[in-house]
Amino acid sequence: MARYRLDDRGILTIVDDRDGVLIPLARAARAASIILLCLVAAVSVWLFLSFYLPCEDSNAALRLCGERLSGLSPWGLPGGQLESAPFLEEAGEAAGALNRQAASMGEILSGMAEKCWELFQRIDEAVRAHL
Amino acid sequence: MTVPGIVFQIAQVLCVLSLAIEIAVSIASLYIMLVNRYAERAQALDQLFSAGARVRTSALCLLALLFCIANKSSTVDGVSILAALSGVCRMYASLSLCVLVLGLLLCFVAVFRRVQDGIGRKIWKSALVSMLAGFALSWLFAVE
Repeated sequence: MARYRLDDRGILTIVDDRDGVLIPLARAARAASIILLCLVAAVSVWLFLSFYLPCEDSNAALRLCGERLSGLSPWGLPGGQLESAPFLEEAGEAAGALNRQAASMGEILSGMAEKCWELFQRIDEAVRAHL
Repeated sequence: MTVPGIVFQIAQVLCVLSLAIEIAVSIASLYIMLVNRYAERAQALDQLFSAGARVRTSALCLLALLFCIANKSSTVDGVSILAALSGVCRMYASLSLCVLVLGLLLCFVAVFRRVQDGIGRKIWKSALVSMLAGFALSWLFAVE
């Protein structure tokens, strides 16, 4: 709530029109999320058009999804532990110049992501245990 | 680390951030509704929840990029990308269940407290869509 002060003459004055921390936080979060969404969309399109569009199509993912949809694989959600990202270790010497430049940033991000991932894996297991 | 690897890590962080925002907003809404100061803060809570949903859309954007990369012949194996995507979708869908429960709880509290409910309905609908889409994508991308 905004804060008011009533003086001797009975005049009500707004001292502070900020409504706690929630409204400024919501405004900041809204702005940040819009910027993030625009940035991510632009970077995704740029990355794909610049580096992956000229590559030859393998259609590996589409083929697998097609097989699954056409009923070749039985219905069932994958069980067991959450998958890690097995493709993360596959770059090796074959990685291009862009990959090498991105490596240092990737190390920082992977540390952060691993911690978050471990935490959420524990929560995920707890939720699944109660289902 | 490869570029798809970094994209995957960022998508993971965004998924976790989105879930954290959605769960925090649901719990805060519940608390504020119980202490009877909901009307003043409903709009701010709604904006915060929408911000969480936008973060989720950003993560989805990156996952779509990874799916497109999985269809190209590059240094990265497309099948392993699919397996990783399946894991993220399953994790998101499982944890959306918590948001769904909190959203339904908010609706019940709004009925009993006779508060005009706005955010509760939005939360459970959003969580239900996330959960169904997450499980569907997890099944679709699962590699045996």
